[in-house]
Amino acid sequence: MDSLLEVIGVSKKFKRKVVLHDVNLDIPAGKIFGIIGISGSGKTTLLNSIVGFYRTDQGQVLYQGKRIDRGLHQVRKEFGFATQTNSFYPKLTVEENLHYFGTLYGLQKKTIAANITKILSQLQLEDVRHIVAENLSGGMKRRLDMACALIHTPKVLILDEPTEELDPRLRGEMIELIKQIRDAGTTIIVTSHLLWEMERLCDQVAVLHNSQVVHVGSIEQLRSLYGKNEEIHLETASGKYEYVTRSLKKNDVKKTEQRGNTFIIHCNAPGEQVLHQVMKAVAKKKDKINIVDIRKPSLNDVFMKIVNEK
Amino acid sequence: MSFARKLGKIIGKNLKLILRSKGSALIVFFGPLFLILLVGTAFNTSSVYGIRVGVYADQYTSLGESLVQELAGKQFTVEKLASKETCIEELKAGTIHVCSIFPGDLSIEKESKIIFYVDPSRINLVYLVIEGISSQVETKSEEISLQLTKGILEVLTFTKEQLGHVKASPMEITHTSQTGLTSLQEADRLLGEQRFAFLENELEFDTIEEQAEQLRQQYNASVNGILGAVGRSKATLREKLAMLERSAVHRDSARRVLDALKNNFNKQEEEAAKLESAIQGIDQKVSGIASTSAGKLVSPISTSIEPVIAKKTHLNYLFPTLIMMIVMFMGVLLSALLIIREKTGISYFRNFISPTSEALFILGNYLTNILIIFLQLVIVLAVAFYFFKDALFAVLPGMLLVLFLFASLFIFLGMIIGYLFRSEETSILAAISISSIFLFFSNTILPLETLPVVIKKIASYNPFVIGESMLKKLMVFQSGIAGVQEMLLLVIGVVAGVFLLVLLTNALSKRATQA
Repeated sequence: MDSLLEVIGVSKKFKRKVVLHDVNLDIPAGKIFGIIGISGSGKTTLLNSIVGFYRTDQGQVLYQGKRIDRGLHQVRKEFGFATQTNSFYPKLTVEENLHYFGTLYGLQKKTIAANITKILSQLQLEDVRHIVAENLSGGMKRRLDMACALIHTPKVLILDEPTEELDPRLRGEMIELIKQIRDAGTTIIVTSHLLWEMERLCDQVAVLHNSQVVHVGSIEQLRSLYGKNEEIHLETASGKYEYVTRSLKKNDVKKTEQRGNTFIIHCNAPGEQVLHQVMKAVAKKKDKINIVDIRKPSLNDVFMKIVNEK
Repeated sequence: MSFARKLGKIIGKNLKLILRSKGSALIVFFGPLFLILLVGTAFNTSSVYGIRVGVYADQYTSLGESLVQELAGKQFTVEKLASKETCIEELKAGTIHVCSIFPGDLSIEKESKIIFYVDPSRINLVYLVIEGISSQVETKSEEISLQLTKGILEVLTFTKEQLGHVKASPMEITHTSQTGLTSLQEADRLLGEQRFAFLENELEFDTIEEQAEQLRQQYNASVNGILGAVGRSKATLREKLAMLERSAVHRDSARRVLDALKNNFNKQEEEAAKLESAIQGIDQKVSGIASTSAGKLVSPISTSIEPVIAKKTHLNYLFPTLIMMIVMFMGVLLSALLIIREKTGISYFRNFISPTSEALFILGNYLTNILIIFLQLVIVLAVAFYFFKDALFAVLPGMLLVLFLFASLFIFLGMIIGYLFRSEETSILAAISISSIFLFFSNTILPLETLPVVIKKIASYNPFVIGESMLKKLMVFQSGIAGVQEMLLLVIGVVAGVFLLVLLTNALSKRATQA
């Protein structure tokens, strides 16, 4: 797989605090690349270093095989960045903001107008195009920031917590939009602390922990490496599960827990084998199964496992 | 083309941001309008109003009263106070602006002094008050001095007239004395020529008697009669001789008297000569008085302070300062604010990562500021036209050039402040501080001449001072661009230097953000 962006041995510290230490990444073209990490792990610093906003103390970032600090103008033309804190003029309207930043990217008036119409439609901001940005809701502001990042149709789109402050419906739509953008050929680098979203969104993820990248790969690769145990989620009519626990072979089960009415069995043995034991116990007790499900470990579980191990 | 479009967009965006903030829009448009109207109305006069003068005297003499009347007759409000202490306390409280203490025996005859107490903390007012009051008192003092001198001159004139009348008398006396002396000399000569000496034997009476005896002896009795006649004649002659001797004694006495008279005449002549010489001396001195005009004597060197330009109102003199103040404060504050807001605003990041050169942002910010300042100047000048009429148009091109250069200079200084500081509060404080320093170390509050030499030297490089002085040359003295040409070249050089500093501080600021 050809790398569009390469982060090679990048280190960055603010005064004495090391934020990034020897970070290495290969970001493939046309994919959604996720960077996950706990708060303060250096995700935003890494993104800012990629676009040249921060000067790295060590290492380098290559875009299409060339150092970005030697071709910053070109990099900036081809990169779009939606920041975590929004970056536009609150006193300008949605359209004025887009027009202004479109002009800064050297687009022609016609192109800007066409892009504005398209983006506003995609991000469902048509109705507020003449509204001053400071008067928009939190979710709209996030989308305006995304619109500003997209106005010049970038080849690489960097999204720092793009679904922050969005309601669940918009969140889903945003994820779909990001996928559409990816499908249109744009390489996307995204960070989020909502790992289930990343699970749905990313083709590849990098786990950033203690200023370092501790793992890079697809989510499946992560799961296979760090999350072999399956879970059985069970809900019975009686809501009592002591007999189920007694019926399970000790070696097949790692632990059990009850969350509300749901009984969760963390398996050591394959899930289907444990499920067979569960079904037998329920039948013997003449209880009734309302819901039963075998689940693979979530990205969150994998992430927690990685963090705990490191 | 793209460059111009980007630049236009940056300027447009800046203007929108300023105008959409209600406070900023108000200050940009109505601030200068309000300022110039206020200043124009307030200072469009050459008088001083509302000066309250406190007066105290143990006893008001006629001269004191007339002085009080003199002061009250002008623009001053005079208040007689109960005591010297009250007067000073009122001054400290600011109720009055000057406290005048008149001596109880204030009169022309006595040497007495009027004391004025002023509040030096109101330093700009003090000079105005001192000048106003002392000019009034000086007028009165001059009036009195004139009267006194007139009196002396009248006496001198009278003396001169009288001398003129008696100037001929000593000569006449001398002449009369000389004539008398001549007559006396003549009389003396005539008296001297009289001879009274007569010898009896010169008459030969003895010979006649001898002859007569001989005859008598010869002719006996017939000659007795002859002898008797001779004897009688002899006796008569002796009497006459005795009379002549007495006359000679009298003649000698008369000559002695004449000698004494001669001496007196000589003395009189000498005295008359002395008198004549003295009168001539006095006459010469009186005639030698160069001026006989009392006014000339009171003020022998008459001075009159003539302005180098036609007398104007306070506004005329104040206008260059006012306009330079607008340019300075707006230039420094607005540009510092615009830069720091851009730098600390959420949009900074997006601007930073856009493919637009930093120089374009600098240029865009500079042009935005220049546009706003010129917009304000248009408002100010439009209102100023009401006060100055056509005089303003004559100097407009030169004035605009100077204003453009100084607006650029102050904008660049503000931009440097904006780039150097990290928060809006500190950069505004810095902008206000630097503007205030420029203002304090200028002629606006106190003349630069009141500063120590070294500080004065430094302050003379103050851009506000230079700008104000150039505007004054252009607007008040109507010197034309040629009159400020040399300074213009210097200012252009400084502006270019400060622009380089803008680029440097911008680079430093950017580096600090990236670090």
